Amino acid sequence: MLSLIFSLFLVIWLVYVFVIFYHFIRFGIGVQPKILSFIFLIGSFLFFILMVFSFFQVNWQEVLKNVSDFLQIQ
Amino acid sequence: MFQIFYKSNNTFEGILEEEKTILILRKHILFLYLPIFFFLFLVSLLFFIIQIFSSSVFYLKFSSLIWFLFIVFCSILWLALFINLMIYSLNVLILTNKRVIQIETKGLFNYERNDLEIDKIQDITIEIKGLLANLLNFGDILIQTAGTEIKFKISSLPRPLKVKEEIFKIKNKFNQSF
Repeated sequence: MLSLIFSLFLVIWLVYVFVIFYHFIRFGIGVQPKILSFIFLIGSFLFFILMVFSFFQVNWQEVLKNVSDFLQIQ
Repeated sequence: MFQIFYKSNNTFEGILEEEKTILILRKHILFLYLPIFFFLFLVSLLFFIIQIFSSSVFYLKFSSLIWFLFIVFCSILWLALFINLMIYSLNVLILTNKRVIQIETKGLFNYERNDLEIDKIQDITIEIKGLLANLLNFGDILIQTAGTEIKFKISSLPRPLKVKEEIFKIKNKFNQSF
């Protein structure tokens, strides 16, 4: 379930990345938008990898167990 | 291939035959750096807060979750930053040998374009308001066409006086060619 939510988030995030990149390339005039789009693309790629990597680093079962324990106490 | 990062013909959609781009103007560079500084400030602040609580029990137990949330937050900020930079970069005033074109981008898929033939320009007014604008030499330019209606208002342009001179220079050249 968590993987599904995270995948949905990633898809929405990637759509935004595409839309911003598209705007830079499609409507940008001159050199500046091209440089910005390049920086944006490199950064987005790094963030994507970091997000996926850090997602798999989390012990979600333990997190969920702690959350449910906390809710039961409440 | 890498030529696009340092050289451009400055062509744009709807360029006329024998029309040449002379100048492309954007808002003062301050408006480019402001969102970048804000982004860096927010990320550093959050990083600093995480470091403060790095010895707490909660951090020791959920450090991977905290860093995951931090990265997700940073990636959302990254998009917000580049939406701002995109708006900055796509808001341009183009001076060609035939027209003055103002492209105003307000957001994603939301933009306005105004074209003004160079010979229709009657007067140009400059407004420099505030200490910062005076210090950094940026201001608004109001281009007036025939009649009293102000057709264009371009805000926070760098070196507005020079821009005004440039527009009149192009106008005079255009008039002389007839």
